[in-house]
Amino acid sequence: MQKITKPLLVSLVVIAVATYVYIMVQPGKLALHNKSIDLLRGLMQTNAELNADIVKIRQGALKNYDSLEVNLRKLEQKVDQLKNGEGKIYKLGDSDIDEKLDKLAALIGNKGDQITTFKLHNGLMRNSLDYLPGALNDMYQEELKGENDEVLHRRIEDALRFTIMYTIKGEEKWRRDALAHINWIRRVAVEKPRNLKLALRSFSDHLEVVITSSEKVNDLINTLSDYSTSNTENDLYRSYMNYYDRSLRQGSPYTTVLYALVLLLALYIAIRPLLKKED
Amino acid sequence: MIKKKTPCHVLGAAAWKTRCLTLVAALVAVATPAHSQESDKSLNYQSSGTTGLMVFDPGLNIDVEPILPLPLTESLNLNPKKVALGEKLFNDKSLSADGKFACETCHLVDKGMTDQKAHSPAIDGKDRDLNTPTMFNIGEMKLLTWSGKRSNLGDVAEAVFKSKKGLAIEMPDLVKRLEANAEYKSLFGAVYDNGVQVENVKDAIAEYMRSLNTPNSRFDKYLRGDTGALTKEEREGYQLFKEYGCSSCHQGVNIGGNMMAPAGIFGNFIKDRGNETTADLGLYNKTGNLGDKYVFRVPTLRNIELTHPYLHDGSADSLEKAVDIMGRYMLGRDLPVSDIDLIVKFLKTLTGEYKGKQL
Repeated sequence: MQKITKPLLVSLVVIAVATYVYIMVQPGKLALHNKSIDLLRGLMQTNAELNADIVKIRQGALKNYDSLEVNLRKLEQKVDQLKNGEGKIYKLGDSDIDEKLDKLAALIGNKGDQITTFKLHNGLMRNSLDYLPGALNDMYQEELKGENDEVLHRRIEDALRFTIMYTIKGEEKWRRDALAHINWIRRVAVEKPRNLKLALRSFSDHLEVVITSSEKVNDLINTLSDYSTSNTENDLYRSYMNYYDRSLRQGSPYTTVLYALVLLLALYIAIRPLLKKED
Repeated sequence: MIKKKTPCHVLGAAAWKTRCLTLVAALVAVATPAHSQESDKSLNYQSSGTTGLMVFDPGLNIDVEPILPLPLTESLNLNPKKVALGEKLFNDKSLSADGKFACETCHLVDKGMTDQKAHSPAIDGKDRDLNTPTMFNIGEMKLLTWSGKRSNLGDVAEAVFKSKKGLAIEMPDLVKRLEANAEYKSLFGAVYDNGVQVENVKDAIAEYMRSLNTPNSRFDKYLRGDTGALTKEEREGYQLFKEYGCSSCHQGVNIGGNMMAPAGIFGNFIKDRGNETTADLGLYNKTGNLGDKYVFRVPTLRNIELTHPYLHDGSADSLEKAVDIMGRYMLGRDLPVSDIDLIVKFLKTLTGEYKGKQL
């Protein structure tokens, strides 16, 4: 009986130790690691979508701002999850990750403020752009009807043309020229009959709004589409992967124990026949 | 070969008009997507008969429309028990400091989730500084409150509970009151494993807020392809709404609520109105930036027929007046009455359904 019980107990202990060590050798937090990776990749993708939508809105291909706010909220939520939620990588003992995550949170907050300003100025620009065709049509049907001032007509055309050029190219030359024509129209308007004066003033004001707003919108697009956010996201990803690799290597005592256990067993199997012979 | 330019003196006003309109078209096209230009080919131009503004039936292409339909309530995957609990909390006056105010005091379903007052009364006995915005479709609102907060619905509910002008009760005291009430204790227990907690109160109210969805307005049906849902005049009103540039700010699912804008581009509405208050300074009160003075969240236009009076100060008592003020301060002109009427006709198509019934 004792002959059976002793080896049985030994094998049970060996199996228990081996199982424990095997579990510890597994990248035990693999699910959490995958979650962190999903969040980090999600950050990059959402940021890319956000940047693409900003450009689409500037081009007029996207006519509402909902997606900007949705994606901004997603970025904030992902950072929050990385800091406090499932898949947390914050305050795990790696100051490099903490620093980059803090930096990213600040960059996203700043991006949110810039997006608020972008929407405001783009809205003003669109408001005048949408209105100009109807306003000009009205002016030609009523106030400018029968107006024979050829210079005024040419100046209106030039003001429009240079505003277009500035909106497309963003070069200072076109802005200067457009504003020169707009100011000329304003000066001449003073001497015109009341209705024409008001129409010319309104027309000039809307062109100026287009110029001023497109200038601000273009500046904001340059700032919003710089690489600071995406670079920080990449850096954060790299820092986390380095941390994960390090933690995997640091988890090796269990691997060593498991390896030693396997060696012992192999040795035991090898010498067991010799021991039996001696008996 | 370069064509010889026609001398200026030969061109009449009509020729100048054509040239300038072509330039304007180019100006607009600078920022217009290729696919929308293609769809424009089929546009049928006609005069509105009022100002000469071009009105056309665009043969609606949802991809390029600035307004999107509201999602149907069934698609929101709401938890009915949480919604019911949230509604009870929302309507319960006993949860305020003096037992006389509830969220519902200023947000009534039959008044478009407003109280239809220029300034709602507050718990401190003084009126509120700004007009009460509607809470319908708040789940789809990208920015909250007139100052455009980017926060979640639960946090907004907490802020209202704690505000001295809101329900003036601290959250721990609120939790104590709820725990002392057997009915609430049982209701919370049925929904949340950990019973009455601050986070659970916020979560239940937020779920109720999300349920305040009003889909299936006639305009939503039109956007979904039912072209007969709008009359010819309402469609013309929508077209004018876009051509006057209103849709550059009032866009998205909520037709507003996703951006900030000044209370006037051409002139200062607040200075002209007089009696400027601190609340009139808008976003400036939050940021301290001079450029943010008189800047407010663009309000939603959904159910606008029910949410009078209008503007941040509730100074416009009719839709006609609100549209007129917008024309004057956002476009710098007096809109013709006939165009205002058409736009108002369109705005009235934005009234949706709540719990399956037309509001």
